[in-house]
Amino acid sequence: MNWAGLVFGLSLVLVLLGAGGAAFAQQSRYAVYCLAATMTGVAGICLALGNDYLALLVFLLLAVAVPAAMIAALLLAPVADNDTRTEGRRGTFIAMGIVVGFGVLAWVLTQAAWVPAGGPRQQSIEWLGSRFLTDHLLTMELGAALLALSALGVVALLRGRGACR
Amino acid sequence: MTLTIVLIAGAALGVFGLGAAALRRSLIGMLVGTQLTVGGWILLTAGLWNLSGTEPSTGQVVAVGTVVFAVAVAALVVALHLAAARASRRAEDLEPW
Repeated sequence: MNWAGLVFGLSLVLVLLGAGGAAFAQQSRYAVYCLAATMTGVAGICLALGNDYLALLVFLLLAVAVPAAMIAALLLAPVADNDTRTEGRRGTFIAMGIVVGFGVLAWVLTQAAWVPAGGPRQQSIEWLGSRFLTDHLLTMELGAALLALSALGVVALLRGRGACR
Repeated sequence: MTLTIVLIAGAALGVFGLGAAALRRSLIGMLVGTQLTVGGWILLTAGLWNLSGTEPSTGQVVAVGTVVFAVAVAALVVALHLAAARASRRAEDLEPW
């Protein structure tokens, strides 16, 4: 087994265990820790597939920065210890929905006739940058606009009407 | 084989995420579910475009766009959670930091 295979296998285990923990942990804090583990696994799978830049982005933003912000928010404003809604039959319905949804989605995805891989496999960061600046320029601009809008929203929420007086 | 494993892992993440979002009471808990779904979507796009078709970088472009969307949503939800906690403290006549 080579290094890519080892990273892929370990990351896959991390993804599945972390997802289960994040979905079913009673406390939000533990769910956030499991989310960070899951995203580290996602970054590992991206790395094993050769998507270095994407792996770095997922690890730094989704496995470190976002969970850190969530933990900080939970420390500042804690939520109830039991953060799950399992009263009545709700928990049973959701668990059944998860099982059925997973079965259907996995069946559809694995039965679909995907185009076999072929042609030059350009995955370098230079190639990705050139794609962003040519074919996908609008995507990049929309992403920047979305981030700016989100930052404005955060400022409005925390410094506007919601701020201390 | 690798493509199948990645697709099943992505599907599992997506469905677990939706389930987690439906199970939680708090905004942060729902955000955890949303982020899980985003992780599943990233796996699906990166895996599909990488292991099939002729242009793997398109999958990376879609995944980077998804990461940007996830970060923007996370920032807004965390701010909303803090603003709600502040408003609740103010309603109880406590110092809202």
